[in-house]
Amino acid sequence: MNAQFKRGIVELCVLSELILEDMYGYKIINNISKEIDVNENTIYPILRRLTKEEYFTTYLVESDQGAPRKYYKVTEKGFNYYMELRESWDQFIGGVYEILNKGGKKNEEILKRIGDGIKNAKNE
Amino acid sequence: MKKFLKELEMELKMLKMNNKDIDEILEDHKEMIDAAIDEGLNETEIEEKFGNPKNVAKELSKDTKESKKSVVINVENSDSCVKDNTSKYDLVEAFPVISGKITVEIGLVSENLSITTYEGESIQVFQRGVKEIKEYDILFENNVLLLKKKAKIKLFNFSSNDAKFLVLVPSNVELDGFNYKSVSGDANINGILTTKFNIKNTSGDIEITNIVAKDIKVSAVSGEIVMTGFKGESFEISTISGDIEAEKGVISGSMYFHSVSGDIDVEEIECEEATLKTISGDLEGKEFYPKKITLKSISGDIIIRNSDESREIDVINKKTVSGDIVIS
Repeated sequence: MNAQFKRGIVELCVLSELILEDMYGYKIINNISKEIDVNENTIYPILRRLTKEEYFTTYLVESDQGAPRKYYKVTEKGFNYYMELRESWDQFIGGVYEILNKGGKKNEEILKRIGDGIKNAKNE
Repeated sequence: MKKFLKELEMELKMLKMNNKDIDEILEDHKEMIDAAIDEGLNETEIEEKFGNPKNVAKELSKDTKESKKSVVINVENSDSCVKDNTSKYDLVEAFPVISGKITVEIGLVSENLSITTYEGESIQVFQRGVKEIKEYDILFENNVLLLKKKAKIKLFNFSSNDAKFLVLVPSNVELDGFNYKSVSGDANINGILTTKFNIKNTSGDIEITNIVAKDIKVSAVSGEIVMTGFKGESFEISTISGDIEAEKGVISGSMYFHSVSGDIDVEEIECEEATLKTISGDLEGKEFYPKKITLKSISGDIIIRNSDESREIDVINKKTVSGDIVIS
């Protein structure tokens, strides 16, 4: 995947995770890497940058297991930023879906064309 | 996983990151790796999750480099601003101005902008860090200067964009209109003389200095606005949650402040009439001399502290649940 494209999407994922609840770093990484193919190398720099840009603040919470954990929390600026990104994303993904599937209306037709296309290619 | 931390430390040092950042980053990683171990992940699983320290270091150093690049433009003196800064930019277009009043139309997304008047003959547009200049309309036609991001799906405009434009407008040119619209870019606007002055911004921070305009209209969602030195007939400023500071201004007509929760600070301002409409934002004035004042609020207050007691302020209307007007 194009690196910048991927970074943008992961940024939106990080924000989405934190919009609902405050979380510590590893949990964010774990939640996201469960769903999509990214690891810490991509996620942590985004967390750090968004914190520096004041989209997140952090605070420490003692954990049962040992050292305290740094929790990330979305700021007002972060919420606004999320809304912007989310809007762009919805617009974009809506557009892509429309182009790929013609809004779901033409799925059958598309599949039929693929079938025909493969058949024709074989015959040539 | 000690190896990961050691390698990361080395990589960061090689990239000449400062020690404080390195310490922080290492601490964060130690904590995250500990958390992964606590959850029972084995060595291989952890390696998979944490990848290659080289990659993190590379990504992190990219961000620090980008933040270093940003240069603060001193707009107090537009001439010095020009001398100091054009060398850091690349000239994109220069347009000769023939005659008549011109209109400036700027529509950006996340790009930062500095626009100022200068002692020169042509309108000049510079850029720095703009990846695809083709994505912008930069024209001067029929006395309209257009600097606009072409309509395009916005997915690729995620943050860390440090594209910046610098626009120079000859100071002897009179403007009919100045329209600036942006989503998240910051802007510095200096020395504009125009009939209509319009600013619309979502989350970027805007600094406006030395503006003379008949109608001034500024609106922001969450960005901060700082205005210093302005003169005009009417003034309208609105914000949802961003704070507004306005200093040193003379408005011959009315000033209208509209805010949901953002606070407004004004200093050394004179006007005929001032209106504040707000849910919870406060208006604080120092040496603020409207002849008449109106407040409509749920909990927002107007607090004014003036030294010249001979100039009275008439409260013509006050509709508020728990807000108040205090003049002292």
